Amino acid sequence: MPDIHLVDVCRDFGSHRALDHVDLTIESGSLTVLVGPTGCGKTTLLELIAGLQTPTRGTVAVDGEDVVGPRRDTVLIFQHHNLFDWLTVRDNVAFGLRHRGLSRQEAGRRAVEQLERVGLTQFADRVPAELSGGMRQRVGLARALVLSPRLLLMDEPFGSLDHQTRRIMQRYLLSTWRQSKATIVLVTHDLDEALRLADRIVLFSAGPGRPVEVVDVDAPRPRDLEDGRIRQIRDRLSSHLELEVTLSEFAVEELSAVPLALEVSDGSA
Amino acid sequence: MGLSANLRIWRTPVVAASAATARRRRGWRSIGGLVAAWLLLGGVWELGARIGFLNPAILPPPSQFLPYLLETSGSVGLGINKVSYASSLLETILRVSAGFGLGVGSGLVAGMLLAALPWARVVGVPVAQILAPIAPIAWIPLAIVLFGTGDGAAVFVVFMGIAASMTLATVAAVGGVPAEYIKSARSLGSRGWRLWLRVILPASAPSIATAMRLSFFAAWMSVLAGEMAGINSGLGSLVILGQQEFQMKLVMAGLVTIGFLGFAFDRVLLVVRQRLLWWEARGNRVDPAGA
Repeated sequence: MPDIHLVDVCRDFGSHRALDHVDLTIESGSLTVLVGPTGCGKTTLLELIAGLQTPTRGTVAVDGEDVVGPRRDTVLIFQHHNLFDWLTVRDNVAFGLRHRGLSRQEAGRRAVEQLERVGLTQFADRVPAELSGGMRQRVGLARALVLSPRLLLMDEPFGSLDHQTRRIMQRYLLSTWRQSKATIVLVTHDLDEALRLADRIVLFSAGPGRPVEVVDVDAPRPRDLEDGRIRQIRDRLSSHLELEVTLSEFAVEELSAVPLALEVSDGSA
Repeated sequence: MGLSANLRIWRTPVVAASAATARRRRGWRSIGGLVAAWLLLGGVWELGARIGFLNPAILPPPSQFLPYLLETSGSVGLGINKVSYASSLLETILRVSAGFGLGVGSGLVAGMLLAALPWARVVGVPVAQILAPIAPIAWIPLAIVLFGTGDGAAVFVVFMGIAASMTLATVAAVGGVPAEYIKSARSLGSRGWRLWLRVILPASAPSIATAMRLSFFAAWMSVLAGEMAGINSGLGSLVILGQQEFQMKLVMAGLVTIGFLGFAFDRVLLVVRQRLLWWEARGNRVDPAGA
């Protein structure tokens, strides 16, 4: 049974069309990665699924129900301003529990349990400003997982981390995903990240935003990006992605002046 | 393994203790700087008067106006018109506190309402934008007509001097809350008044606290300007009276008092900020205390 179903979804902001006739099905329990240039409507799509926005036309359904507002089984994680600066790590993790009607003690107890599971107990009384970037994203993930979400939406969650931390967080995400069995939809502009994580990569086009290519990555994890099959997918997507980025950065009239490097890039992020 | 585990246990308290020590050291250093600044100012002043660089008749040094203040309790005028330094001081403090409290309080409420209600913002913000640039002193004639020359007029002038700008600052502070905070909170199930109380208010509190401090300076200037220009009582009026009777010791004592009190109020606001916004002092942020 398909978990997320978008049918003919459009989203306009004034005269600007962010999403244009999007049809997309995301299967339950899968890890889908949306890739595309900045401003192609990836974030808008996540927020539509999260119930934080409503489509201008078309329908967004999760588990066969139309999304009309934030759902209890869905959590959205951002790149920046994810944790609340004015709460300790424990209170941040307890935040969602408190809003699900748990008492302060009970929410705090479960928050600490969750922190134990992810090895962050000793940071329970710190505030986000005292944590490293990777740790902050781990707490953000803990805050989402403590609610046992069935659907986890992540908007460039590792975008601001350095290369090494990002790799560690990707492995961490994969292992928590296996345990939680949640459906994950992750947005990134890093093709390598998509290749490492995704069951299915959806490539977005800008102006107006819509999926232009859907690729299933049917390879066991952890993945070797130099593996033949993965390389093949990467080569195909990277030239496509580069074209999309160029099209979103430059006006059509300028294109003749832009040296379009459509040959295979080295793929380094 | 066992050793490293032990080390980890010991590490956190040690780090915490050194952070507390550093904070305390910063505290002492700022007090030391304060005392040094006052001593320097007083010393130069005193020295200038002694060597005749400053005319003591116009700029009486601390060694003259401080004893004067203690001996005469700073009284001017005769009989029913007699006013004392202490009572003027108290009057001004009460006026500025009332005006500041009312102005900041209503500015906060109005600002939050305008931020929450888009349709009210269309009319409300331009109204505040028209009221905000009116200099506090320009309200004095109206204040005196409305309330006479007493406390009411002074409080009104302070209120009008800060309420509109505080409203605008609150609207801006709420508007400046990162959208991600609100979206994260809604995604975690927060909405309505709890979203305001638990997320929007704390997220906008740092900018609001800064606006409050700036408002206090405006309030302090407003009350003194009002007292000097028509509201014939309080510290500002005392300074003007001193000038009219050529009691320069009183004028100087008044000026030093105005500076010192303004500074003291500002420090109190800063301490309140540090208590309420406790998380700002932690982590790798720049300490806002120096601002």
